[in-house]
Amino acid sequence: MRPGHPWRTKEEGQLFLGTVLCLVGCFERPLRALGVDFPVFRELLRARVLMDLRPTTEGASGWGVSGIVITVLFTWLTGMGTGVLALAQDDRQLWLVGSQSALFFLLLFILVQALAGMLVDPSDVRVLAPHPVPDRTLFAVRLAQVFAYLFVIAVSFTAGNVMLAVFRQPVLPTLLVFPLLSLACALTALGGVALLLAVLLRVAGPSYFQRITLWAQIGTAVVLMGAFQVAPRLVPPHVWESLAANETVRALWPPLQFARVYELACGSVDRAHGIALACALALPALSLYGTLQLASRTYIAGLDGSLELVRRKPRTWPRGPVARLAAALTRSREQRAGFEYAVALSLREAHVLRATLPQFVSFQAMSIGIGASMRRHLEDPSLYLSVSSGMVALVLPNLLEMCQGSPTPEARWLFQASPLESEAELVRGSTKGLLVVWFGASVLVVAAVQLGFVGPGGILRILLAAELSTLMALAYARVWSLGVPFTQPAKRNAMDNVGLLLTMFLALGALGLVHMALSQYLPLLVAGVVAGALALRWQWRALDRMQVSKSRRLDTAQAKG
Amino acid sequence: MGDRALELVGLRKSYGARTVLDGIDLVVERGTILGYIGPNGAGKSTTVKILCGLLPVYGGEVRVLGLDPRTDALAVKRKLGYVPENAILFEQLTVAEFLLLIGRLHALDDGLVKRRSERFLELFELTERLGVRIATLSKGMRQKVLLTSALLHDPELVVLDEPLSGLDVNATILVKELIRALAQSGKTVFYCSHVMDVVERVCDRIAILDGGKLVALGTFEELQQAQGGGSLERIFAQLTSEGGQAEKAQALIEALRTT
Repeated sequence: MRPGHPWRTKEEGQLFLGTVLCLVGCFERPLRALGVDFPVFRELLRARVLMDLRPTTEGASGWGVSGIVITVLFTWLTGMGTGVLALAQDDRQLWLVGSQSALFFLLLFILVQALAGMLVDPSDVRVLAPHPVPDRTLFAVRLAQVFAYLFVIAVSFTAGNVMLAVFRQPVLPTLLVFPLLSLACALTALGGVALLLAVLLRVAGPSYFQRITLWAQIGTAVVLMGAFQVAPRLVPPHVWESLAANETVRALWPPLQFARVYELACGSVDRAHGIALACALALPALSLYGTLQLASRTYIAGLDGSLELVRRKPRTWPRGPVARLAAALTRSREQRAGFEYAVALSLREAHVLRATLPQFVSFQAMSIGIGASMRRHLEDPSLYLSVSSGMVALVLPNLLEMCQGSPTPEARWLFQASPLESEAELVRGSTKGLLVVWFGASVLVVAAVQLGFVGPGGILRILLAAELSTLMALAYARVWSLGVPFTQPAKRNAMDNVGLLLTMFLALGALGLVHMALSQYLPLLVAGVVAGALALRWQWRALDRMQVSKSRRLDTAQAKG
Repeated sequence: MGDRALELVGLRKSYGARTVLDGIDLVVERGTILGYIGPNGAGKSTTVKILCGLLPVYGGEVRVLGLDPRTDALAVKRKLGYVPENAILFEQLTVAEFLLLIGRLHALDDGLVKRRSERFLELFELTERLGVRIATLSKGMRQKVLLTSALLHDPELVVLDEPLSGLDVNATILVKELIRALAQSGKTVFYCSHVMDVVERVCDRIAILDGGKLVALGTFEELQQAQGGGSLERIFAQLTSEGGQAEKAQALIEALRTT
């Protein structure tokens, strides 16, 4: 804020905000035609962009920006990867269908894993609900905000792809039509997910909206990550062939549609290409129209609903396995307090569940899917074992980060008012709790699944994979800058985690190589397992030396907040 | 209906098997102040949410300024100013940005929002904070911003849920006078609070809620007559508690000695 101009926003003259508002202005008429209250839409979007651009607390680092940069780089590289198809293959269809399929999957993956949470984020509802904000308009704002992120991803992917494809494919269609198809791909992905949420709102009603959408998010993530690997084994090949040859399927499945539209731009004019163009235009438009019509009532009430997953009978005092683990694994009362309260809150806070549960479950599904499809093809299961165990560790930084925030961070007074000997003890205990309950349980499930696929003969390899994954998790936990959990303002910019999630996939490669190298000879494998166990013991003990990050000390948070 | 700001007929609300409101019948005349009080969990906040159009699923009939909040929630929100119990605001926006946003949501002219807000903030001694982020404000300051935002559009009905929470003494006196002034200017005030002496002095009529039912309704004098005199605090305790607070306090002290 400029001194002397309290009514003028600092970002008002900046390119990004200006571009967003200018683009929004171009869509005024169609938005009004869809029943959106345009002035309210524009104001809410402006406020959302301002809040996304600003760090959660004054002086904090601009994580949102770095998250976007990482995402752009990653998707640009992925686009280049698929762009190679245009250079290496004479079959243009393979490049088109391959590229658009990769983009469609990537967008759906990011939508389901992270951005769908923005469509059902209840954090601003209590501020806005008493004011005259139409339900449909608020949903439209959320859609626009999510689309902005999808747009960035689609543009960077397309840039990477086109910069290679243009050397081999027709220049004008590649430069002009391919980017438009990517845009249509983003709109179709968004339309599909948004329509699903809107249908669920109508079917389940506002009281159950939060719960049912979380289950839908988990279910879709499982299908995306697991089913497409299992399906080829369950469905006979002739069914796939007939599906691929079916004209209706070819017209309705977006990547195939887009390939035909591109051909149309290259001069192949016939009825099938015309239908593909009509479908490519109609599908996103119809799905978004349907979404806004369905979300015209009770959307705001639905956002304000409860996310309690399981109704439990009221208990008296904690006596279950968590309490016993806390007693066994902590070395002070403060650590034990941190262990128990962090675990309890992590299993109930909506922002934690939304951000991490779909990832944990879908990665497990992916591990089952990979196991089902790989075990018959590969004699050496090292890659499968290390990747499926390692994927569980990938969720951990996200979990730790999400558990730093709370919708009621002012509850930090509880710790400030307590005669704590050390904040670090709370951090150590809570980190142990989150590691044991979330990560430990997931690794055990994965190991059981692996045992089913690989058989008892592979038990040492399974053990090694679990150890390597746990070492990776412990390393993350120690280097992550952590403060006392649930005492910082909750993060609302989901892009931070998208960038992080995408980058961390690279770490899996290293894990696979180490596992493969150690699995070559039995003595080496045994030595690896023993060394892994010793390293784990050392790393676990090192948790007792963890320190509180300077930027996240309770007194710093107090000064900021 | 013309003189009725609020009309609740057989209002019921349940969360699963738990009944929160069990047949509330209540009429509030325009230009009056109704004190709506009750113990924790009595159903006050649920009533407020229904009146403000935030809870669309309930039983019975509700009319707010002649409108049905179930079907005309937007129209209700345009005529109503609401100060919730917990001051939840957009932390990353400045006070000025937040007030402009709220003004625009109510389709107010920016100039009008600025003039009204500056006057309000001046009276609340908050002018210096206009350009700072809400995250840096104290609880009382946030409450003042919330009050300003609730009154910016000159609402016909003002719903206040613990509006004095966190305010300093001077601001408390100001808000109490403001509530009276609002009623004198023809506005209706629906006032929820646990501060009994303020309710006693400020409100024209008082409704006492317990276990989702109205257990008393009338002016303070009428309640005194019905309950045999005394302060509102005593009447409230008589109607909503089994009594013996002094004995309970003593028992709490004894609990501290438990080893």
